[in-house]
Amino acid sequence: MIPIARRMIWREKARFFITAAGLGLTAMLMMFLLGVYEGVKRGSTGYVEANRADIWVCESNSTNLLRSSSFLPLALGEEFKKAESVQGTAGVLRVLASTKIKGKPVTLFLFGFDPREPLGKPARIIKGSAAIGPGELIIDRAFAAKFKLSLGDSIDIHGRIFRVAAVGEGMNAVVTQFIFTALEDTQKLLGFPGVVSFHLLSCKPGVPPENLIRVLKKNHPTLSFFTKKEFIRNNLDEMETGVLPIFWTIALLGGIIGTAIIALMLYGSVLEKREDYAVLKAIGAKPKFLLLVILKQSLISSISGFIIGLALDAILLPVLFKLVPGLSVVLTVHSVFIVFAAVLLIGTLGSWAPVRKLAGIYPMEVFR
Amino acid sequence: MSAEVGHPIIEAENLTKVYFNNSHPSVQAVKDVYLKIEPGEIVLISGPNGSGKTTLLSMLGCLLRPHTGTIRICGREVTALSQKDLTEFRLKNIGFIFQNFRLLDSLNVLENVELPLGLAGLRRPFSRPRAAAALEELKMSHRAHFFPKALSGGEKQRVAIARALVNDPVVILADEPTGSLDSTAGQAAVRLLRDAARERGKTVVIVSHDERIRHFADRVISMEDGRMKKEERS
Repeated sequence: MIPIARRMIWREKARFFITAAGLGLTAMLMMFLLGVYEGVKRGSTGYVEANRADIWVCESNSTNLLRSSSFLPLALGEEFKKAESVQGTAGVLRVLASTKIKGKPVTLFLFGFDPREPLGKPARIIKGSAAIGPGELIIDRAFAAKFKLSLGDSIDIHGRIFRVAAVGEGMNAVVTQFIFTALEDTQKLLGFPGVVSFHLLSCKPGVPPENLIRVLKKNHPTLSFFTKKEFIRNNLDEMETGVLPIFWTIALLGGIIGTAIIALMLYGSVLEKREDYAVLKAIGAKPKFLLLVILKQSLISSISGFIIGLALDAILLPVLFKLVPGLSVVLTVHSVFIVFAAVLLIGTLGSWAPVRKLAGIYPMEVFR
Repeated sequence: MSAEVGHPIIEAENLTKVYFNNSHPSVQAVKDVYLKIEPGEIVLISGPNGSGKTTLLSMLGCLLRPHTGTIRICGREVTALSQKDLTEFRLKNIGFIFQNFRLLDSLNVLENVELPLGLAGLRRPFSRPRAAAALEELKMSHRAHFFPKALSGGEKQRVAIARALVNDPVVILADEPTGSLDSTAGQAAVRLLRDAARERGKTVVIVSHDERIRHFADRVISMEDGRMKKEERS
């Protein structure tokens, strides 16, 4: 069959390019949002994910790293060690501290860990060493770029001077970046020695964490125990509660705008080509065929828009990373497929009003 | 569908069409029309503007349903068909030629002629040669890859005739085929239509108020105020 839809689009190049560009911006926005979401997701769970701990222990009613407070005695770790199936333990203390870096006020998300223990270390070190000593910090790459910090630079936290000893990756939750210090330093900043927020436990080989949790819970019924998988999910849930509604709202608005663009453009096209459609009806085009002519035009515009959006993301993201170093955008194949599906849906929904208009054209109009 | 010898190809009885304005009857465009057209006949329906000739043509072309009366084409009562069946019937049995040619601007000449074949489900390897042959017969092959905007009025009408004939319909309905053409081009277009139809044994119904094409028709039906007033044989 003659590709009528393609021919009709091609005869109105300006209309087509405006539609595709509008949808391209919609697709770009959606891909960007999904990229930010993925970046935040990885940043907020990367530390737990990369950690060798099989079980995370915290105060009852605490569930995650991001937005819950937990204070446990450090000595509890020695008790856990006595359990037969426990291989190792380490305490991690999370503290929020306000300070100024190069004159800018900033809230630090500090994690105190014991550099001698294999558990609790930051995800990935790209410069320096994780074996930090007193008065030393490990900062995230995005944090270093945001405040133009490099190895050896100093940060004043509550009157104590800390030196940047290492730079890591996978500790960027966009709204904040995790900073690691020696456990004793963090305890001093908090003013409570011998306190941690979480105990991290590793199981002996072959011991399922669920079994160990059952045993430990008998002796510590007021504490919360989570497997690594559960704790990752908890952090993810906490992050999603904060950002997902915002992301969905923006994505939905983008989708509505994209649908409106395609609907208006195609509606105008149907009105302008009303005589052509009347001729097609008169000479025997079936309603399904005409519906497909509109739908194809809509989908061709949508898919072209998707390609434009993908290209815009590829061109603009490196520029954006330079302008906003704290930004973490991870574009996955999965996200690209989701946006592609969304764009197809936009194209389908956008063709509804033009199809309705087309249905109202009488074949007898050819005689006008 | 083929015409049976000795039976009229088009039979219209007691045709009436009323146009409504806000649910109130405003114009009775066609009144009590009885019409029989034999296979291979070329009939001209003439009359002044508003005489109901285009409404009659629309009903004969299954584009408009009459309020009363029946239409039989090739023995089939088309007034009883569903909308879906009417579409199918038009595609297979009726070829249209319009006053303003009504070629699709986004398709080239060859594709415009190929269109009815594609709508009938013929694949391109089969439809393309048939469309090319139709253009060849109407001496338009040299313009096959031109777009309608690049053609003269006469050329456009030849393409429209090729489009009407390509599907091998039983009946060809032409609405004011000379309306957008000068005198010479108009005469040439109707002559071409008559010759092509004669050659293929097609029935042609032309609606026109152009008196200069009367001699091309076997029969001329004059309409006035929605009624058939006079019938003359050439």
